[in-house]
Amino acid sequence: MSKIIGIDLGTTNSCVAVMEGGQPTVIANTEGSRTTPSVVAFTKTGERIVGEPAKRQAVTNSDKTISSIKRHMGTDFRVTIDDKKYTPQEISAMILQKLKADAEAYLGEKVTEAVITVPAYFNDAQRQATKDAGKIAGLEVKRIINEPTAAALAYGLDNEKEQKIMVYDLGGGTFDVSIIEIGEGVIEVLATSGDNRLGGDDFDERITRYMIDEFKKQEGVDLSLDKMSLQRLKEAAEKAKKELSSATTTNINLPFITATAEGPKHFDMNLTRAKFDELTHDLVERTTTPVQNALRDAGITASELGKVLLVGGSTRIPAVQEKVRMLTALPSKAASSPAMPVQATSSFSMLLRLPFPSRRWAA
Amino acid sequence: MTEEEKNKGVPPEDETVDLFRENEEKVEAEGDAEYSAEAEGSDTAEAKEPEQNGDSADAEKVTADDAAEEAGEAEIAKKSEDSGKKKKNDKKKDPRDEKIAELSDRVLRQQAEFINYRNRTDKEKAQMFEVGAKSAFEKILPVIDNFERGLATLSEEEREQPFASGIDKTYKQLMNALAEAGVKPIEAVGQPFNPDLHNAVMHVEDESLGENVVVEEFQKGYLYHDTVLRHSMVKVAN
Repeated sequence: MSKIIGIDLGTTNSCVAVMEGGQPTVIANTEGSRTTPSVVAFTKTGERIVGEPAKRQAVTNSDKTISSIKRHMGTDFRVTIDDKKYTPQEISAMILQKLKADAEAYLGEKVTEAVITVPAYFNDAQRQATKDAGKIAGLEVKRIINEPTAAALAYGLDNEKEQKIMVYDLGGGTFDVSIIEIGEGVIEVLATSGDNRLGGDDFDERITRYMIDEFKKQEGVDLSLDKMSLQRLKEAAEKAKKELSSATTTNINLPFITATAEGPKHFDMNLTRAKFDELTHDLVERTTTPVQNALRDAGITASELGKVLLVGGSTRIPAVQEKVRMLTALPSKAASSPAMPVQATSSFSMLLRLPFPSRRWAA
Repeated sequence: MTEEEKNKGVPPEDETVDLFRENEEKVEAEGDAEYSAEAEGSDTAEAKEPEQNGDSADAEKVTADDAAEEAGEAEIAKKSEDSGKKKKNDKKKDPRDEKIAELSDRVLRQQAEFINYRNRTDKEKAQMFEVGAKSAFEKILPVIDNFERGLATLSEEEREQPFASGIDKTYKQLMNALAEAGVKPIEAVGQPFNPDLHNAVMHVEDESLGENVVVEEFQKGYLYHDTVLRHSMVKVAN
C-alpha cells in the first residue's frame, strides 16, 4: 500500500511529485532541488552517479557522462561505457531510480508504482521504452500520460465543461504547443507542434550578448574572451530576465568585471523591459508559426479555444503572455499556482489524482 | 458513475471515481474521534474538504492513502451506507463485520502514515533555520567575491595605504563573522576532484599534473556546516 509517484522524465531535467492532502507536492532531491538534471555518469572508479553531481563532473569525464538520453528513447541507440552496452531504457532507469530513492527518502516508505509523463508526439515505441525504463527501475508504471494532458489535469480542467484548450509550453530549451480536447472523462490530444531549439536560455543569451556589446562600446574590452567574466554576465542576465517579469527596469551591477592596464573596470547598467522586449522580439515571434500549425492540424480556429494554459518558466515573460493573447484573443490562465513550480517543466503532478485505469485518457 | 452501478458490485478498478468526492465520503464515514484528536486543530468538518484545506493534518492523512485502495474503500463505505436500503447480490456476510474489518485496517494504515508524516515534518522543522540561513548566505557570496576581486587588483604598495588596508581588514572581519556562523570556504586547488564539492567547468590533459586533481579555481566554493552553499568552480586535470 505504497503511494504512487508522478514523474516528469525530461530531456534536460526531471522532477518527481506525490499527492499529499489532495494537493501535489514536488519532492526535493537529496541535494535540495526540486528538479534533477537528467544526467548519468560512470566515474573512473566505476561508480555510478546521477543528477547534479553527474552534471558537475561532465566536463572532466565527457566520455562516460550521458545526457539528453530522452532523445534516443525507442530507438536502437546504445551507449557504450567500459565495453558494456546500455539501452536508452537502462540509462533512463538510472534516472528513475534516483527519483524513486529521493521520493522514498522524503516519504519514509517504499515506492513501487508511478505515473510518467511523455511528450504528446511520442510514438508507441517511445512510450513502451519509457514503460520499460520504469520496470527496470523497479517501478510499476500505472500509466503513461501526455505532458499537455498532465498540464490540463494539473489545473483541474478535467472537471470543467467540455472544451478545446491550447497548452503553450515554453521551457528552458524547448517550445511545445498542443491543442487538447476535454470531453466526458476523456482528454484527447488533437494536435501538437513546436520548436525544439527555442527556450528561456535563448532569452538569457540575448541579454548576455547585449551586455557584451554595450561594454565593448563603452570600455573597448571584449568580456566574452574572459571565461569568468562571461560566466558572471550569464548569471546576471538570467537574474535580470526574471526581474523584468515583474519590474519594468532592473539594475545589473557587476563590480570588478575585468581589469586592464589602467586598472579595474566595473559593469553597471540599467536594463528596461522595453529594451529586453526589443532584444527578444524575434524569439517570441518564433512561437507564432507552431501555434498556427497546431490550430490548423486540429482543424479549429483560435476562437474555438476555451482556454490557454501557460506552462514553463519562460511564459512568465510579459511579452510572451502578450503574444499568446494576440494569437488567441483569450485571457490565459497563467502558470502561477505555488503548488506547481513552473520551473518543473510540465506541471504534471496533479495527474496523481487519477490513478484509475477506467478513466480512459486517450493517448 | 451512478449509485445504481456502484451497488452492482463492479470491481473498483473499473470505477470512475472522483478522488475528492471519495475523500469526503470517507471522512464522513469515518469520524474517528481518536484520530482527529491526534491531528492538531482540525475537526471533521474541515477534513471534509481536503482540497481546500491543505494544512489540515487530518485531510493530509486521508488522501495520502494508496489511491487504488481508496477507490475500493470508498466503494465499500458507500455500499455499507446503502446496505439498509438495498440487498446485496449473493453475499451472506454481515456488512457490519466487513465494515469493522475495513475500518480497523484503515485506522492502522493511517496511523502508520501519520507517524511518517510527523517524522518528516519534525525533520523539516529542524531544518527550517538552516534553509533560511543558507538562502541568506548565498546572496552574500557574490559580495565576498567582489571584495576579493577588488583587493586582488591592488599592488603591494597600494595595499599599504590606510584606506585599502581598512577595506582589507573589513573583508577579514566579514570572513570571520561568516566563519563563526558556520560558513567556510571549500578547499579546491591540489585536492582530488569531488563532484559533491566542486563544479568542473574546464578540463586539461597534462602529464605533469596528478590524476583527477583540481588545478585551478575560478570561483571559490563555500560550505555552510556540512552542506554546500556554492560549489567551487574549477579546472580539473586528467
